[in-house]
Amino acid sequence: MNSRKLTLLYQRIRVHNKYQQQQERRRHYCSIERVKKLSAQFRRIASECGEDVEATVLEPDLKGGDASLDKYTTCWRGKWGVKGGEGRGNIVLRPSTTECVRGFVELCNKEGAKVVPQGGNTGLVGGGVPEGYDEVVLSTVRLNSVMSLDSSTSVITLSSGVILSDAIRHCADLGMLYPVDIGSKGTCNVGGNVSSNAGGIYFTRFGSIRDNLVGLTAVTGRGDVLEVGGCAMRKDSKGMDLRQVFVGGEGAFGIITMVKMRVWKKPTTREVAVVGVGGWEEVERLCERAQERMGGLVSAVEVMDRRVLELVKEKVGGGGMGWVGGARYYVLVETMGFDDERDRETLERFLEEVMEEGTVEDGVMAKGEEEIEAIWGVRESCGVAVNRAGGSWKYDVSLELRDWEEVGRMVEEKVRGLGGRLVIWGHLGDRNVHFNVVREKEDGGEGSDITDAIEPWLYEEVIRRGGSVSAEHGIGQCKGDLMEELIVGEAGMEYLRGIKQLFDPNHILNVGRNKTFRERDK
Amino acid sequence: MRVLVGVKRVVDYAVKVRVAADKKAVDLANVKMSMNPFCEIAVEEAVRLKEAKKATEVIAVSIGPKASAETLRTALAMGADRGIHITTDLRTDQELGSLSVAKILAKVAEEESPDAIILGKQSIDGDFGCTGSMLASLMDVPQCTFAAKIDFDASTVERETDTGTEIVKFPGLPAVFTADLRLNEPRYATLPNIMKAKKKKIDAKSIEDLGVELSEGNEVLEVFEPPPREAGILVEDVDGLVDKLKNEASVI
Repeated sequence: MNSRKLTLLYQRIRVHNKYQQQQERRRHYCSIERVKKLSAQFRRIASECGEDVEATVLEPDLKGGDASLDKYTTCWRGKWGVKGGEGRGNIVLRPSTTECVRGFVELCNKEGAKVVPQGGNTGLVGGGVPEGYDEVVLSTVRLNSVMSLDSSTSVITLSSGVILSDAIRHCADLGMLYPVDIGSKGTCNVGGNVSSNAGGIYFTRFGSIRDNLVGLTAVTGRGDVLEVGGCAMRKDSKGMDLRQVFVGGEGAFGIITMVKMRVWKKPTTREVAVVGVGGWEEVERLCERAQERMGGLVSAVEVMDRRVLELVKEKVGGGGMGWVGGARYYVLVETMGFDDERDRETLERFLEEVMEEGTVEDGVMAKGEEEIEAIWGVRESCGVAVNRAGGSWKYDVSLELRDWEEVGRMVEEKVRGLGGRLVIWGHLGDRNVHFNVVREKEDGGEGSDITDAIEPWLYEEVIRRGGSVSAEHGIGQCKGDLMEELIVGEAGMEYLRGIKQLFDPNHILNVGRNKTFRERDK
Repeated sequence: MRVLVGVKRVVDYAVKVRVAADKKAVDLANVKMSMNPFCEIAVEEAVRLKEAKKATEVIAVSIGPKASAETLRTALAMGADRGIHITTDLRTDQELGSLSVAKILAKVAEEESPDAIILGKQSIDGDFGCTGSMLASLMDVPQCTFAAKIDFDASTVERETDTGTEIVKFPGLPAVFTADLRLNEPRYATLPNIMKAKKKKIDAKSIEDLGVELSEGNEVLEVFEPPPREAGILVEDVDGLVDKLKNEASVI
């Protein structure tokens, strides 16, 4: 990459500066007349499709400025999206059938109305919320009527708006395991997981969404209902397959309305231990040992540093933290298997070994499911704790383990002078680290100084070391600028644009995400 | 003071159980088992007594199949000193009744002479809640059930009732206590303790070796799931409420 391009890139990245974003937003204005006209047309379509019109078409209150639709138009961290107000608001659509989605998309094509597909709105990169007031939010939350598991083929068919934890529980009740499990499972939608190619804690053992997706139904940007994959038999080598276009597509190519996912036989044993280690070298050794000694039994290996645990204690609290001691890093090891008699023993033996060789300082092993849930609860609260701490800057990258500590130290150096500090947690098994810079509100809260200090330096550093700049959080509004230069490359981007043109010729879907899809001269 | 603690291996609290095909029992195949939560609380109480130097020895006892030894290991990992495993192939969730369990524990107590016996208030599979009282009766010692707080110095126990709590005074030891939820919060089993537990002793003997004659248990006629909870309804006025309570629910 030559230095001129680099400069241009740095300039574009700085546009992410919040102040300038606000300036941009004022341009994305939508008149009251247009809102009313669109709203009436949406209502007509909803009624034609037999929908409950009041629940399906949510019109913003442009006079009073009530905040009831803010939960659809802003992200849960309050960082991305737009708030409703006087004279400003977004229409929110919540269809409950594929047919209705199709009707809406067809209308939006005709009227040139921009659409933001949205699942549970739990994303971290602003991929599911509008950039301005001229976008219609199309939420899948009411698309949840189908949840049916076929145990003979091990495939579950789900409407895209089914909440992930419901899918997980449904599978568990039938002795099966749904391969996606992420912290936001109580709210996120399974369709959204596919659109953002979510990772999660079972990625190492059970594979990615790309591996497990059997088929899906989507309404393309053109308004066609496309059913891909979906043969009842999983082993179906049809040759060229459109499934993967939508995985990670973040709604740019179509709106997923139905998902077919491969499920696994739920292991009957589950053991969790969380151990404290003194340094990064020990973390690496522990991770390696776990794979060596327990191999396929390991289902998750996660790490949390002491700082984030202190934050969890302070900001989230709750019980079950009795195991947190003074060690610098805590590693959670989970095994899942089918041998009631030996699986617990295997983990115990492993723990004994690592204790004896001095790798481990302290730790506990869960006695039963309740303690297992408590320990995982702490791990899953890391994101929430950081969010409550004040200003937070999140970086979700994939790096070789030996680079985590070094890169972490470099990040610390850059932000220390600005009052920020780094906390780390992540999925050791998949080499996916969550670097989070926190600045307590008293020290200064949100600000672009930390962003400028870290970006794009961190992304470049990660790529230089062969890592990924977005391991599982996706691109969204946050990393769109990086697509061409750092992620896909110029040639790759051209092909992607071609595909985008095919699926969404009028460019109505997710404009603003993956910025390079936008016509260059706009 | 020597403390004897009973621990039972039951279906894990978080597991959703299913009725077996013959409708005579719960299906236990491949189901996760762990220590009864109230037994965990009992063990925790005993271990705390040892840490406070009020108890000199904590003995854990369990009745069940081979796998109950695991439950004893968990008790040892929490801090118990040694374990006694009374082996049996009878199903401990329904074939071995409370009175039989009480008789077995009474025999063990005869041999071990504990000063205090702490049990869980009930097991989450049988839910009978009788063993503690029956044991005290067989041993002819005081019983303090549903204990939320035990004070060995003052010889008082704060126990849970349906309307709140009450403080009872027990005449002295030996005595039987059954642990309720608020008694304490059980500790995690730390790694060093788990390792130490492997070296602690567990004595195993069968019910026959113990020389206990079992009482006849209950005969299980049928096991079924409770009917699904129905949605609530709104009534127009008080008269409507009274009418429904009288004529539909038959509670007044």
